[in-house]
Amino acid sequence: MQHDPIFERIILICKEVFKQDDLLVTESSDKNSISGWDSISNLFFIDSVEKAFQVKFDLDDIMGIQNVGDMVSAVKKHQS
Amino acid sequence: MRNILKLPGKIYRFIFYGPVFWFTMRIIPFTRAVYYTRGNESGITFANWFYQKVLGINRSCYWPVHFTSTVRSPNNIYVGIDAAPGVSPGCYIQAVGKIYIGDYTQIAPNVGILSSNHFMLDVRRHVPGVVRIGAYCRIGMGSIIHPGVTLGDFTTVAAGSIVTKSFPNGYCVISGNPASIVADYSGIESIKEKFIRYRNINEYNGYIPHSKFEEFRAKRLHV
Repeated sequence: MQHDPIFERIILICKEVFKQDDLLVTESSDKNSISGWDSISNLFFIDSVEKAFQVKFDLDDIMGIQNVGDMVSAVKKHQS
Repeated sequence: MRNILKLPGKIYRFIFYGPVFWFTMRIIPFTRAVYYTRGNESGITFANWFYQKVLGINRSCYWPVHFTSTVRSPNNIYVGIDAAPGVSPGCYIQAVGKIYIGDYTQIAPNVGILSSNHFMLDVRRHVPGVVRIGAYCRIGMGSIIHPGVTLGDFTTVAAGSIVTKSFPNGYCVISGNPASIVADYSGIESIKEKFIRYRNINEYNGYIPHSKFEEFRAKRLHV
């Protein structure tokens, strides 16, 4: 999973959106472990992931995204 | 023994939420709004109707108002579809000026909406202003909105904010005293289109069907 290209790219987006260059992102990183991931930056995060992968999430996907692993699986679901 | 203890609750639920209750609400013309707004975000409950229309607390308001809320000059207030300033307890809506509330806006308990100030040099005189709140806004608990404020669509006012300036673009979260922008989505089209503009099946402006509202507005309201 560490060499998954989708996951690698989401790590870069995380660092950019949450403005932390030395951010340690794992699949189970969530709102508690990443400081700055709140309900406000959540929308910016989802927007930049959508632009990067050219996908469109629906409302149920957005409500279901609790950590980075959920985001990866949501992107995979929409790309396939 | 347990079944006997549950019996009063069952009788209560049958009287107030049973099929006979809803059928009665539907056939009586005065309570028809209770039937057609059931399940809405600011739907009219039987308690609202009873306090306002039978006991006469806030009777002049044409939208549901809790009996602990106070509304001054309700004829100066325009209330959109499924919006009800004061349906939550403890609100104070002062409409010496004019107040416009957009469709589907939700207003939390203890919110104050003021539309006029006293003149600084002579406190006996009022300086009326206009408050405009857009559609699909959320006003958090304990917020105060001052005269002359315009809020755009999809504005979220955080709890306890004091709004003194206008935020006409909407799509933002404002907070603090004086309120300032915490998050602004108004410049990003891809996020703006994610906000959902839902519509109710039966559209009611308070107790009045939306189809008859323009007639009512011309006849009774000053807005």
